[in-house]
Amino acid sequence: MEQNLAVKRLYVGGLDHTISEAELKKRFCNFGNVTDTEIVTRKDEKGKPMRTFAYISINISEKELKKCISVLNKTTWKGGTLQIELAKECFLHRLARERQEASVMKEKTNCNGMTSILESMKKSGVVDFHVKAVPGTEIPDHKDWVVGKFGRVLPILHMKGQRTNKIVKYDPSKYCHNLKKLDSDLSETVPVSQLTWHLEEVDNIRIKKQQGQFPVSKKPHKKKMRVQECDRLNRTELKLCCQSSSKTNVRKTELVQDHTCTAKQYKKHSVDQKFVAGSCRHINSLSESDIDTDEEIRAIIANEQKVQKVDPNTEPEDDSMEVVGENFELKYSTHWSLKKAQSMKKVSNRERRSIENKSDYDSTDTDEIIAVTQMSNRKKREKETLNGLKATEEKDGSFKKGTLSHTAHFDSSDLNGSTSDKLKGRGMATSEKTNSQVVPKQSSGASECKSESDDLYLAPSESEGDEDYGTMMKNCYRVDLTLEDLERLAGGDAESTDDDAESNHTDTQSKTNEFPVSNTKNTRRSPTGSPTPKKCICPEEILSAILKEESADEENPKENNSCLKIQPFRGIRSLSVNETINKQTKSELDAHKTKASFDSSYISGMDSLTSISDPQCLDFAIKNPKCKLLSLKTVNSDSHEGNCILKPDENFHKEDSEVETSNGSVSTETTVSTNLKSFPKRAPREISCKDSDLGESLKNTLKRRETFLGFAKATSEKQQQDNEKRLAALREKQKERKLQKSLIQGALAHLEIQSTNKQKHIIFDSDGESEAEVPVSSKEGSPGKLLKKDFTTKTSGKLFESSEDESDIAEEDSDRFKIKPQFEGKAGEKLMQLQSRFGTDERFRMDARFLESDSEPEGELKKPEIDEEEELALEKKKNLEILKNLLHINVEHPMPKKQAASARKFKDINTLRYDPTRLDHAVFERKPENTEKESKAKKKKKREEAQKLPEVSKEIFYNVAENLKEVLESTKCDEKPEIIPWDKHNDVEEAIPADAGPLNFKDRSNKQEETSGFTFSFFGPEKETSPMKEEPYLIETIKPSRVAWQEDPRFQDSSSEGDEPEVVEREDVKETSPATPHSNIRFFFFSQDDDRLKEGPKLFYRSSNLDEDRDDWESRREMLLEDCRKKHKDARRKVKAKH
Amino acid sequence: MRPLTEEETRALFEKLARYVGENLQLLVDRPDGAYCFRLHKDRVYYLSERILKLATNIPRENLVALGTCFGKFTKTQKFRLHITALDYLAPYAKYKVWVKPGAEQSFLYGNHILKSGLGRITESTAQYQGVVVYSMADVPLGFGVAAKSTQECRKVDPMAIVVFHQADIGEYIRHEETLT
Repeated sequence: MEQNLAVKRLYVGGLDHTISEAELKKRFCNFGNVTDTEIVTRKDEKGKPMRTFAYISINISEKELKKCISVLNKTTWKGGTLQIELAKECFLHRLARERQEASVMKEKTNCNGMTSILESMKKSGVVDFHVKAVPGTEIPDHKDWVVGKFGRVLPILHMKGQRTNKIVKYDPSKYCHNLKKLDSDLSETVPVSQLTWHLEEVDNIRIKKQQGQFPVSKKPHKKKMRVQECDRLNRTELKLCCQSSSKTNVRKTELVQDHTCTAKQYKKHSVDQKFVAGSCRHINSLSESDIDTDEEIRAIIANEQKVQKVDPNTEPEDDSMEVVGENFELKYSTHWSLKKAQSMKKVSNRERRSIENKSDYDSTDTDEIIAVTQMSNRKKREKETLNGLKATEEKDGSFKKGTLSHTAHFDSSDLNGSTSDKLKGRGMATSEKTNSQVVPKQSSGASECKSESDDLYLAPSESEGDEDYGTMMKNCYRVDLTLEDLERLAGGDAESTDDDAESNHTDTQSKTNEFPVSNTKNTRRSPTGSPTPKKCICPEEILSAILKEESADEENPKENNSCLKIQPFRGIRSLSVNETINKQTKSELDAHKTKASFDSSYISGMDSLTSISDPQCLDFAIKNPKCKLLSLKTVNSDSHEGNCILKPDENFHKEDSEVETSNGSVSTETTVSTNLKSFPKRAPREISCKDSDLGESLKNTLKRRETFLGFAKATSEKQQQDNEKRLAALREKQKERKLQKSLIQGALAHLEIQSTNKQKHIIFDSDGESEAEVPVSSKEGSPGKLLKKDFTTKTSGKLFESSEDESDIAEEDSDRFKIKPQFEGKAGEKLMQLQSRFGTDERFRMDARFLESDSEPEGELKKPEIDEEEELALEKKKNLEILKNLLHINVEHPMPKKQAASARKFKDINTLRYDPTRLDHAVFERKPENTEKESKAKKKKKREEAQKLPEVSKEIFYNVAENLKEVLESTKCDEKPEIIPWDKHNDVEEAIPADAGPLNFKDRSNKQEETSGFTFSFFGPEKETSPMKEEPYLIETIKPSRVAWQEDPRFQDSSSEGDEPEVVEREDVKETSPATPHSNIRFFFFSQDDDRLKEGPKLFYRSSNLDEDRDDWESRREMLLEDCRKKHKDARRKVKAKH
Repeated sequence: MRPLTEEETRALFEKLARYVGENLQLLVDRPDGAYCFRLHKDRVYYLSERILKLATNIPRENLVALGTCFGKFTKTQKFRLHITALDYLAPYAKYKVWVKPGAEQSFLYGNHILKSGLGRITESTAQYQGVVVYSMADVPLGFGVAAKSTQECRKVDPMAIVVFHQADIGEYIRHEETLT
């Protein structure tokens, strides 16, 4: 027997724990070559070895192995019975092996896996079996397992029916893989947001929660709708990422799903798909995993056969199924509805920001658009349009045309037919062109069209799951296609562009089906172009309309702010997007002439449209095309508009500028950057646009803009109104206050009367006094002696109130202040009034004869009332006192009356607004002269009083000043003061370098202050002439002692004023040169003879010759250097000394 | 009907001042007319001078109520504020408490306000400070007394009482008979 040595692993159990490897080896070496031993000791809790066993890798033949086992098995060894078995592979080895295998498996192609299955299939007689693609085939080896979608193996379920007790056999492959062709009619599709996840039977909340994830019940047929959608998605994904292996397919689909579908649905779907294979409990997943039709499957198989390793996107387009284009999103947009397409688009858009991808504009501000553009009307409008579109949508261009026509039909009821007539001549291509043209036309600014397009473009941006969104997406998709068609139809585009241009310029409403786009365009333009209800048929009208609009725009500067404020960020963002897009479009222009231009315009329009999330953007978009329109108009009169269009971008800005120039009101539209401004301006235009049936949604947007515009307009009006209101309110307040005052006065008067009445009891002649008080109080400033006396009596009455004793005394002293008896009572009051008419004329004194007799009863009647009121007032007083006491305890507060009065006063002061027109308020004005004078005087006094030193030094200064003056006079320029300080600084440095430095700086600063020209007037006189200014510098340097002194005044005086010495010097100079009648006032604004104008320039040129200065400086420099070194050395020595 | 005595006035003002503080003077001394307090059958009424005059013409036994009842004096001469004073005091309230919608109902049934039902509270509310209770819609609901100061309110657990109930507008229905 040959010894087929093989490495085997033996398990040896029942070993003694004391056994070592060597012994083991020894024991087994007879049988083979022991390569490795592992001894494992299992110990119990206390560490006592319970069991010991070993793994031995032995190079042994089978025979020997048998022998070994037979010999050693069940033998005792060192107290334990051996147990020898073939062991499982070492764990690590196994792991490694498995990994290897796994890797090998991975490396293997699917075919390998497939081949095995295929082989098995072949065994069973199945021919041409693609496990992946052909679900439903049973797997031969396993019972009750069928191949499901994507090659997965699904179990056949036997379920008990809910109502029946029978067990139903459920073959998942039959249900899951029934792919269904989507009908073109997607009107039945429910938007994702409106899908119900509710199963009719399932009312359990828990189950509801679990729905979508791991639903318990299996009701695939009820979820058809969703399934369909999912199917579509899956199908599309399938197509897109077809791969041979089921696993990879699944993975890829999942990946695709993850990539494309951000929605939960899809994630769930993928998850479900995962679980499909795993467990059959998730019927939803199963149902979601589609109803693959056989056709689909075959198609898949065919595809797979074609390409082994297929790129997901190279799937051949299945025109019958969907419009599968290069654009990933298009497919989605057409198919399904809404959310996913949107998300897809978004994703794709964001990923590829290519101009080709027309949906880019969607992506930029989709969120914003969604948030902003949620106008129900517009949505409805969109819905309508979209439904129309949907109804007619086909996957061919013709279909698109039809849809367009349909929509156009639907939308353009008001559109003129002129353009349509022109467009009628064209064929299908033109329709497409029109579609594409519509887009540019849209961009060109038909407001309606724009709104539509906006709606279209906005649709993707709208909230996911919105029906409108789907329709919108569809529209967008449609538009994109049209653009593509345009590109394809390069040749015809020129004409079309021409025609379009014409149509653009003409607000024609085409009711033809063929030219819905144009209609839409027209409709759009019509509202934008014609703020007036009149339909602009010719370009001129449009232009005029635009001009009108723009004029309206000008009126609303605030709309900018308002609009901007409303959605500032978005607008800007959209603008930025537009900019980028426009740039891109420009580049495209270069590439393609006509088309490019057209496209670029289209794109820009589209982009602008799409990126417009708010009316501003829309305005902008509208404006852009409008600009083009206008520009076109301005540049070319009629026929060659198409040519103009050919170079839209090139001329865009130019024309815009032209337009601006030509149309003053349309100034804003040159560049994208200016669009910001134009936005608000556009808004009015759009608002003014008439609404057509087509553009209901547009109307809505327009209305919005209208509101904005109106708002902007209103703001200016509002301002005026507000001002008026304010004034009115002020007046009212004043009136109220007066009322209150009067009331209070009345009350107080009453009180006073009452008090005086009271005091009638206390004080003699109080009646007369009180009555006298009344007329006195009523009459203010009556000159009559008597009145005066009465007043005094009143005052005396008050005095009496306070202190009775004093009143008596006072009264005694002032008999003349007694009220004449004839003035007592009401009649007396009247008499007094009468008396006052005559003033103090002694000839007209009133006697008792003049009294009226009827006054007395009135007075009596009044008394009780007065008493009541008095009581109330008393009570009030009491209460207030109590309150005061209370609140004093709690919170301190002054007398309520006083408080009220003070409050009122306080209020008055607060509310008092300075009114320059009022003469009274002149008091509040600050008169510069007075202050000047005051300050001047004060300053002078201060200075004089504070220090007498200056006086002393003045003399010196005086002298110096003269010299300096001479010096200065010799030197023309005033630069010297600037230069001199340096010189002087150097000179002074020797003596007091430190001081001079800062001083000089201060001087300079002061000088600067002086020359700044913004010093207040009261400092004016002190800073009169430049020579005076110069003097201080000169003076300072010359007299270092003064320098030290100078600092004090600086600190003392206000810094703005300038240096003391300067001032002093100025004063001195003034003395010396009294004839310096410079205007002391320094105003903010420059006058012709302003000193500052003279002084300022002097600072800018040298006073002395540069060379001379240089020479001087050179000489001084050496000295300076010496000084520096000296000091440096000294300092060093000091430092060394310290250390 | 008689005017209040000083002690009564003091008690009344004390109570009112708890809720409105020094704004009470605006009630006492109004610029648009003379208003006064009158006591009738242990109830304090706040009425204008005009009403007062009219009320004097009605005999005491037949007079049910006059003006607005602010509250009543209990047997021990303590003043108890009624909800009918809410309209007059709410505008001048110094310390306010807003109640969450959920707890609103509870308060209107006469329960105290728990921390969990507290929506907002004026800052620097002292403990045992009189507060006016509002709903989140700024509708005055009644009176209360702060059981915790504002700072304490922040720390306390959600089930603690923060405002003691004094009067609420639910009393209009619950205590129809007793309110005048």
